[in-house]
Amino acid sequence: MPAMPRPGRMNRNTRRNLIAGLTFSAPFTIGFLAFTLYPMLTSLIYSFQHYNGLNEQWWVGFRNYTYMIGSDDQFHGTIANTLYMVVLGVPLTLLMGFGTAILLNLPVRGQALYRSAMILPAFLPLVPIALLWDWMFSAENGIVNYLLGWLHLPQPGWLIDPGWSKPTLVLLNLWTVGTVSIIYLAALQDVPDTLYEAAALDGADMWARIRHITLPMVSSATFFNLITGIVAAFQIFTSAYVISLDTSNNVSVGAPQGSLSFYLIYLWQQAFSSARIGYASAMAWLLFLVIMLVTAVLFVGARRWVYYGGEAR
Amino acid sequence: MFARPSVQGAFRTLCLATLVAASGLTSVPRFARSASEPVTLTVAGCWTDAYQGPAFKKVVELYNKVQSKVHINGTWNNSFSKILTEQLGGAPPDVYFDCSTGEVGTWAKNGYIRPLQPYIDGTHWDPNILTPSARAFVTYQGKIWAMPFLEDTFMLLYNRTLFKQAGLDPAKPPTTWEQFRADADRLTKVDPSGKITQMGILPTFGGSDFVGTWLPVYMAAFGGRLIDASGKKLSTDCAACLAALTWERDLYDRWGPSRIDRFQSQFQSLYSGNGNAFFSGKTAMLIEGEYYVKQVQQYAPKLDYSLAPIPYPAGHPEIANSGMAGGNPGMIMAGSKHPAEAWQFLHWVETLAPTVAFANAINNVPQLRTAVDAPALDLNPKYRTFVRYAQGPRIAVFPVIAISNELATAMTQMESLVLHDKVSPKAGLAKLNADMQAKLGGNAVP
Repeated sequence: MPAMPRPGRMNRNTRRNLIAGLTFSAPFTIGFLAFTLYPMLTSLIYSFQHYNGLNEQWWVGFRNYTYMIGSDDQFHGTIANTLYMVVLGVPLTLLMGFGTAILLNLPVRGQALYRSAMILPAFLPLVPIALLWDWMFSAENGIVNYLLGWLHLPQPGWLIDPGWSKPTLVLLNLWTVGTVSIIYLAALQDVPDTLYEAAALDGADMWARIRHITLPMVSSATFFNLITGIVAAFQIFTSAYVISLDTSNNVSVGAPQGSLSFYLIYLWQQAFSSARIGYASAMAWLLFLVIMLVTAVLFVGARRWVYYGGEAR
Repeated sequence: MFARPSVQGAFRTLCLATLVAASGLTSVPRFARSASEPVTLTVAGCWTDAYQGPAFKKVVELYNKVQSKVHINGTWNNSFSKILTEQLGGAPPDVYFDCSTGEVGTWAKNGYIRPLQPYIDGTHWDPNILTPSARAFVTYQGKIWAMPFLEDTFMLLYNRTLFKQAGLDPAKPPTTWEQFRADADRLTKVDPSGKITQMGILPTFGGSDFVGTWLPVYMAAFGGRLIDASGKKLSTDCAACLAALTWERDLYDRWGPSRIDRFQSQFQSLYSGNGNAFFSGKTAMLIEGEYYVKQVQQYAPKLDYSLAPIPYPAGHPEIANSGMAGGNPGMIMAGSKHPAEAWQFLHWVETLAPTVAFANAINNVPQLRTAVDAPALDLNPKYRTFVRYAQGPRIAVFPVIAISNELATAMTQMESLVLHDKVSPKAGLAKLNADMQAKLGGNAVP
């Protein structure tokens, strides 16, 4: 029987391996401590302070949080705008991603070309895409309204109408849905053909096969896309910033009528325009906690509907 | 046979090497500066326009030529949020020239810029050389915190050709707001589908969400004051302020907010080139700044236009020639490594030669009293009209307070909601004033 190492003592090999492991992981560890954990902890401290980033710093307890939740109307407006993107934008993105993945999985000629065309917008930088969107959806000069007019269809105000501005942003997200589609496509290609063949023998139609085979088999991809989609929707910034930026002063964002003022945009304004680092930190922590909570709830619920291949159900 | 190098050994060597390198870096001065070597100063300018930015750089180059102790690296196209981020990060430029007066109070209150009083006292610099409006927009709580470098003011610009086409006499621009609205009606054209093809006036030039100066300008021109003399009590809900906003809302309602938004959305450019509503003859009247004289020369040289004072409410000629002034405050950042040299540069900026040179280059109003009538100042009659108008006794400045920028943004947001009939002018102004007063008094955000 091999001798068991005595607890609390390491033999030479173990110690050497430990040091080697620590040495090789040191760049990450140092980077994580200096650039992630330290800023996180300091921002947690700032969130309980009045802090202007320089010379004014004192404790205010939970007042940043209570003011934010109880009194800040602008903050409440950004919550409503952000939830719109989460509740409407994320499910539509999943539907669009799944639908296009099914099409991209069909055995048709030139499929590689279609797949490239589908994924391409997802790899373009968001700033030029947002500028392109701004131009395409211009109410008077945009190509979209030109085509709608040609078809004798109504021409919405898109980015100048607060009722249409968020749907326009959702459309932008749908256009860049390529990464979601790719993940779904990979999951679809992992579904064994034998399952479909067995279902066909049992007389299942296409909808029944999608519902009872495809959707459960790609549920882990759906779960992944759902989590990442929700996190991204809560943190929407770049596209809304570029589209709604007032270039006269480079800081006023959220037009028309505050409809594109999202959580992170308001946070950024509080930190880098109004110099309220403490308040902005509290906003950041609240968002972090909300995302954590939503993710935890989804993980708990996932036990009921997410199937990982190979596991016993 | 070679011995296998131990991982522990490698780690020790790495640590030693790091220590040696670090000690070497700290003990050997790598860039010892000789006494004769000039100090390098970083000066950031806000100017973004294709000719305003290079004009600012020429001013900097002029300073580099006239003295040898300081060398300035000048940059342009800087936004205040970028500079604030640099200040918070500990690496700001030495001097920042802003294109708005909105930061002076906020940055002074937060200690992001250095107080200038010690330098003013030390050099016996006389602030009375400044025009009253220039002095006002760099003064926070009674003390000067920035040095102005040119200023802006606003007048009514109107297209003479469109006036003639509408049967209006171009020699008689509107003098009252009532006449102004009647003329605007005649100058507005709508096609058979109901689409606006030409507007008499774009009340919120740049878009109703554009954080510009229009509502404060209208308020000033209706005789309103946004803050009391103590600088502590806001009065953005004053009777004249309400009259101004109601007038503006009525102007919007005349044609419908969504139709105006649509018309406005086709013009991408506020200050230059194609797509500018005034340059392209799509709007007949405009309340804009003196910089437009240069812009028109540059981008629409054939445009036949004239200037007129901003109108006043009928029956109140005593508040004629009202308006607003803003400008470019130059501030020494708190993190400046060479504040004394920065002050010397700002001190030089407040002399005739650089002021006139920059004013002529970009046609902004000079901030020095002596420059206003200087023979060397651009003789363009329109520009000179603006310069004289800016000296009037009824030209106000936006409140220089700890929340100036926040107030301007909140005003614009409220204005946009009012113009789109989401809230009444009275309710909008009352809420604005209450919210902003709470923030100004430090009773809102912790």
